[in-house]
Amino acid sequence: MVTSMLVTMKSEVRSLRTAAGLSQGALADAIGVSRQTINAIETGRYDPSLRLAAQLSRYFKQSIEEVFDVEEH
Amino acid sequence: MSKSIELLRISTINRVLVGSLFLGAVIAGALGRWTGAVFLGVLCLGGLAAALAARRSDSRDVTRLNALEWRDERDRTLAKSGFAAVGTVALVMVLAQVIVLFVAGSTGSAFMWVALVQLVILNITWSVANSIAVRRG
Repeated sequence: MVTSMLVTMKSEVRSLRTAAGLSQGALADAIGVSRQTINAIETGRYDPSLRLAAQLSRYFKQSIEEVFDVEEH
Repeated sequence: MSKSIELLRISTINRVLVGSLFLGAVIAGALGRWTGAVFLGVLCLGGLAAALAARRSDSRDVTRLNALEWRDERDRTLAKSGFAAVGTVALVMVLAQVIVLFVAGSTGSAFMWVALVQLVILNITWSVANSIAVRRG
């Protein structure tokens, strides 16, 4: 049976960034993306690709699962 | 970094567009068509200015999208949505154009041929783009 499922992604990017004392612009420059992309990820308006998620996780020395959590409803 | 190197850092598509406009302006000028030369020259400078403004680190995302200066994967994803809308409108408009030309009895005119060629090229492009998208998954 196929059931429709709503999947949302939550990220810890904002808390990790603020804990590291970084501005959105500084993190964006370090990762090589725009400040708006960091903002969109933090506010849940954009789900990053696996590559960008891995890049962000590696930057914070965390696993992808620790930074991004997929919630199924 | 020198200014000439800085100019080369605009996106490939903008280099092609600005280069084409510059070449067009030079050729129009050489042929003595000054109105065309000035028009193309202004477009060339405007395009270059827009691209350079979009490359500033504090530029807005919509500015980068409008200037074809994508910085990251989100810009490219957003640009695809924009281009998809443009493609849909182009397909509908060229189809409407062909229908109007047939209804108006313009069969065989140069305008009709241009419209038909546009319709065929747009549909081939759409089909090829779909095949590539499916293959890449």
